[in-house]
Amino acid sequence: MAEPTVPIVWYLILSVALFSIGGLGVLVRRNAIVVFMCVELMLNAANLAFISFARLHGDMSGHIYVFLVMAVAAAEVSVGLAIIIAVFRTRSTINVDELTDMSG
Amino acid sequence: MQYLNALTAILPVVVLLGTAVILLMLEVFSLGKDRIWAANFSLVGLAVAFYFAMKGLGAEPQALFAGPGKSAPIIADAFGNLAAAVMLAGAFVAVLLSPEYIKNARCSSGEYYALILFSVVGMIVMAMAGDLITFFLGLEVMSIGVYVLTGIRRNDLRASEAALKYLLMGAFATGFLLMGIAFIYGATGTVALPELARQMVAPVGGAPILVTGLVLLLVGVAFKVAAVPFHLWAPDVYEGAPTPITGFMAVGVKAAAFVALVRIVAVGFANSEESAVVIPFISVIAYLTIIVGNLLAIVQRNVKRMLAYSSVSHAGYALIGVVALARGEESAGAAVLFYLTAYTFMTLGAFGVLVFLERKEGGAESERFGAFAGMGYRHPALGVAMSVFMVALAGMPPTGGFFGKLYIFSSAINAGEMGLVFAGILGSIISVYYYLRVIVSFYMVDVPDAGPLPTATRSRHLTAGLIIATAGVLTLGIFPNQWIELGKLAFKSLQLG
Repeated sequence: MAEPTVPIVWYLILSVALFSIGGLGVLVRRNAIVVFMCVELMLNAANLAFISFARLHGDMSGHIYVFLVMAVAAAEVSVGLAIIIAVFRTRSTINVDELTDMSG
Repeated sequence: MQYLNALTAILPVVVLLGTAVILLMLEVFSLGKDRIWAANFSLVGLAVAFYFAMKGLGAEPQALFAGPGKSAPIIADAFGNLAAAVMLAGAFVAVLLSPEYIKNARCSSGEYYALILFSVVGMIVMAMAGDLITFFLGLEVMSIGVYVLTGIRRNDLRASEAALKYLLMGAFATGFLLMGIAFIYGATGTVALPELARQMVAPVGGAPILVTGLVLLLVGVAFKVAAVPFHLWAPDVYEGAPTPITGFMAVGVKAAAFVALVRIVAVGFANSEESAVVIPFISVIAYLTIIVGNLLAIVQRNVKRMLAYSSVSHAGYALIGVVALARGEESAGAAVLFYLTAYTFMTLGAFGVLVFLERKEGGAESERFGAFAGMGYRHPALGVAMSVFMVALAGMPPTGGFFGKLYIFSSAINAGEMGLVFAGILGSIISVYYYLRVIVSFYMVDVPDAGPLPTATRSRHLTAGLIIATAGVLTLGIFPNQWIELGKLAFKSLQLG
């Protein structure tokens, strides 16, 4: 190891930062698609954490988990976009603040 | 060949997948407008899967699909099979409630039954998960199916709103859950439950990373079971979803999440000081869930929403069992299983009565308390059934609901959690008010703003579903011993495996 590599902790800090940005975005943003993108950001932050921890432990399983998560996220996106389209067709808006047919 | 043998150990899953795929293919040919055959076909699949799950109770615990030198992702033991049997029974009743609703709501029914079956596959995988990643996969298979089912009446304003809310909140929870698993993996170097128990003692980076991971994992699960303060989506989603699906997700999703939680706590985090740190966290959620869930249920005017909050508070009672289990009280495992079984029948029964009473034009109006005025006299059998379900939900004898609470509370007393028991009893007393209110409106004749009375419908499926639910609630209440013994045996298999 001649060149110094980036310490694993930095990857973890990046991962936690991405996760926080995603989490805040879900709470703050009002456009359903943007909210959904923020959720994806959270999932990918978890992926990054998996990869860095896998590197830390020298264990390849962590890499495999990331593939599984990607597959799940893809399935979730396809269902999610379909639902967003269904909402847009009935209301002509995807602002989550305007979804107020039910309350109590 | 080895994989073929492994598949025979999880026949319930194989049967369900086969049934669902065949259903989807038959749907292409649209055999007739009246898709009652699809319901019947899924009922057959569920019944066969139930038979294999019950048969699996006696089998030795088997660790399946393990790679060389790796621990098994799927563990087919008596606990997993018993939990699978409960979920299959719940799905069976939910399917029985469906044809009538689909006819009235005129929603596309093609994929409906296949999606229910796929969701149950996810639930069984959760119950048998030997590591956290498999648990996550099962959870997602279950959730994605239920997202679609929630919004299956896609031209309905309330249904599409409910589906979007459920999807966004569910995916948000998934993020927390996954990050939690990543942290636990980081601290211990494994996600396999038996390994976790060994690695827990000296986590990488000390306890903080591990505890953060556990808390994130618990937050994710708390979202799924709609525990306070992560319950905000539940009332809207329960109200907007098709009524049989509301019942299905109230019991199925909750049962699967709790069963998986019991396995994770009992196998992965048993008697470890590091994980004991999160017990107060679960306790606080349990307190909040019981008190807030019950108080908010009181003020509801819509019966479906009231049942949603009631289901929130029931998650709180089950959480008491989880706390007791985390304290090392072994009887709590069987108590939680018993509670979930009783809860499955009484909740599905209550939603079944709602399906029975919902008017053709549907809408929130037909779900008000007032809309049920005098139903007890117009439909005596229905009135008796609803009374049984409400009495059971309130936790009064001679129903399964009473013994469910009794077992949970006594295991919590053994674990020394007197405060939680007190909160649970207080919550049950509060709940008597709003459950009896349903019975009162059933037998109250004079209501000034009653509006048009709901037209009851005749459906053999629906009647059969209600009969099964009533029989289940009463059987568990009159002969609780057999089931709790079965639960104890199943829980033992967990610790052997």
